[in-house]
Amino acid sequence: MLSVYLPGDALDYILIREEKTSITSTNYEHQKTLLAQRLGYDKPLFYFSVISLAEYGWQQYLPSEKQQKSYNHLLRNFGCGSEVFIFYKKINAARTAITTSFASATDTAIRQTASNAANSLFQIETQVKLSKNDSILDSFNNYATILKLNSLANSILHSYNAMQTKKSSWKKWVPAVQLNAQNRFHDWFFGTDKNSGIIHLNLGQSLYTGRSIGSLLKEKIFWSLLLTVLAIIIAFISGLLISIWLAYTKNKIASRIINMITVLFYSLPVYFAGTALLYFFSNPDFLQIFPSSGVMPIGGYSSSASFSEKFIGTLPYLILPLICYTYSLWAFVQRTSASLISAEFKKPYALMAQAKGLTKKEVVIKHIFPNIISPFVALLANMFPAVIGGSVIIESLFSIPGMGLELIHATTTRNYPFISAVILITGLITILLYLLNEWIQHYVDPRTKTVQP
Amino acid sequence: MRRKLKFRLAKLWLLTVVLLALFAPFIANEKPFFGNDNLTSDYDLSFGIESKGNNQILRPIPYSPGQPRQNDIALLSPFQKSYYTNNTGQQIELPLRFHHWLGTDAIGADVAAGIVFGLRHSLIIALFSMIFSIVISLIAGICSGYFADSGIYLNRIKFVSLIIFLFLVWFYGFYTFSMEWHNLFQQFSLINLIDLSPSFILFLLLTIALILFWKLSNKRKIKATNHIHLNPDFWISLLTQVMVAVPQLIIIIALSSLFQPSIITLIIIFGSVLWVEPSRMIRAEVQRLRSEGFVDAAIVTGFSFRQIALRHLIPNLIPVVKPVFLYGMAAVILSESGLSFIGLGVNPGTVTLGGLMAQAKENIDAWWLILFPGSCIFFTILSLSALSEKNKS
Repeated sequence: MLSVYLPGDALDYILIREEKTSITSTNYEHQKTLLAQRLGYDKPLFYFSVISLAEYGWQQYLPSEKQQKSYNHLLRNFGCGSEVFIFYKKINAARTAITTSFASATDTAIRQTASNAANSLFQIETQVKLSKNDSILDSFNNYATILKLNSLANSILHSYNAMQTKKSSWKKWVPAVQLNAQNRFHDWFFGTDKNSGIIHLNLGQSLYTGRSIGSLLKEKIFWSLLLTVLAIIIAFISGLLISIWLAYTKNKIASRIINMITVLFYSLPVYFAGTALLYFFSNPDFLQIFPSSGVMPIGGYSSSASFSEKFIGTLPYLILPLICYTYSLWAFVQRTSASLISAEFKKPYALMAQAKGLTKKEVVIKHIFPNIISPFVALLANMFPAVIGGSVIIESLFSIPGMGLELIHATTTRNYPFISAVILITGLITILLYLLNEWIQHYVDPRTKTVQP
Repeated sequence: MRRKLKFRLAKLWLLTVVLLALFAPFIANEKPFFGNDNLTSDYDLSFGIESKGNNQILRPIPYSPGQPRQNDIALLSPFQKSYYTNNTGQQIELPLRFHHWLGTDAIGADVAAGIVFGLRHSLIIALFSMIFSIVISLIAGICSGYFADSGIYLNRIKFVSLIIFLFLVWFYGFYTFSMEWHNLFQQFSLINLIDLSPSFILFLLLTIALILFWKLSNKRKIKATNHIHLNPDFWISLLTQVMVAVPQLIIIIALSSLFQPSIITLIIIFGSVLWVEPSRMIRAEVQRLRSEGFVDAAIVTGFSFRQIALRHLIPNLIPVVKPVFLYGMAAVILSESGLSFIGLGVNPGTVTLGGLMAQAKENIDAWWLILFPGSCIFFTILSLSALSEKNKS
């Protein structure tokens, strides 16, 4: 089962999954720092950051959140940046040195003492309360005398004392604005070189696979768009035709049944309908008409397969998802167009047309239909974001390799570049559709044109 | 007559759902009503007591949600008899009292108990996130609708001092004490609270200073005729347009990747996303009310904006807000279960309706995992939207 409840951040995930670094290995922190440097994650977020004067200029990237927090805590409380920096670096270096050099010691007692010493240093690195530092350093001193590392302990103690003598905690209370020439926003927007950055139409790299997000999206968006556009076309045409037919038909039973179906479809959750469809139509024990997941036969198509072969091969995979996409959209379209038509019927021109002797069918098709097109086009533009959003669930249910499935995958692996790219793209598509909508409205309904004085 | 029946059915269903959700721990629990509390969570023991004929009164559903059954196969259909292997290895058929009436899920937990608790979680999230979002949308909608024509004139000194105050509260209250806040959230204890006491004292001092400063500036010691003109309608409309441009479910998924989803974070996420549509409706309604006479009369009488909003606008907005609230609850239940269905909802420990249905994805034969939670969601949404329709007309 997928879950977001994963420990650590995205970098942990890459290190463990992609680079096969064990979380217990001694150089894990070093590896993570290197990775952060490579991906530019050690930089601050934005062009400026509001911090206290104590931290000004002495912030650094640390591999774990706890270390980061306690380092900033130290900086803030002692106020002497260089001394704190040296102290922290010394402790970190001493810890790695102790863990690596005593890891293969033959004497178990010494190994135990070494791990204790490293532990006490780690406690200082990730401490939450400064008052505990003295006692921890004392115990570290004891361990160091056993391990014959007196000079190391002395040097740490020395810098600790230097930190305390130069303590200037007033700096903590002074806000300061730090300007960051190099930051992650700049890298994301303007890029580090001439090929990267949003401004060069490069959405960045997927953290998970290292592929460029642009090509990934180009591949994934095809299936999403194909299904959404097909569903919108089918739902709009059938919904419009049925509601027009209902407006003039005298068949009361049919209209009552269709109204009931509309209400039911309108509040039927997609995942309920989808799993029910899977149960009925792709169940080996029941009816196995359609395949249950994917978009093409296992193994894909051979390179020589023609378009028609591909089309016929893929068609059965698309039918169940398409039903899921379409039914709720159809109910929505049917409902709104029925209410639009009934509202138009009350207007004088429809009455006039009826009084003239036209049948109901002629009134609906010739007089009312042209008038409801313009609100209908607006409806189409408004529906699109909802359909794209709904595609996430359907794609995960039928495992269609589209944008939604990739988005879920990105969420669980904390692939933030991909998530931001998806938001950017869908926002862009929606805005373009709104523009297109206005443009079409001018053609369909000349009344909406702004009059030039 | 038929319409009335429909609404009565809807109300009846919602009443049962609310009662189930309210009394979920009393309805579905493996602990018996009376007796030894230590006798819990052990299915073996509670079964033993039942058979011994002790005066134990069991709950209507004698299982807890998400508790796997011991010594038995998982995934039982409602028609399968459940067996229990006792310590000596004998297989005993369970009495009817312990039958899984709605089957069991993939780990062998009772589906009926899961549904009761799933409804509870869904309803809690839906109710509180809609309250949250309606409060935001009322503030945003009233501000933008009321000041749509004229904008708002603010005392410059007050405005600037407010911004400085907010910055100082953030800096001294939160930023310099970030470690202490972190500790408090990790472990709530008195010592951690005492560590934070300087931040509270500073906050008090800052508030007193701000109020004194405002009083001073009111006394015209400082020239306060300098006003700035703000148009909240412009900014709020801009925000709603930005929010509308991105599909809501995608924003929710992106937010749930940033924060670890629990019930509270989901409430905040849903509330901060779903306020957009209600605020647009409220804005339009407020603009309509603004043009009616009674608001002008109230202004002339000398009421302040706050009084007008609380006493005159909000009571008039109730007929607009009510259907939006009910419909929004349906939408939240729908998307919350959808999120759990794709595995991004409340953390895996808690049982949700969507999570139960997601198990049916892997075990497609388990029709009881699709039918019962799915129809629960379906009927809840159906009755919520029916009631919202009724309130609209």
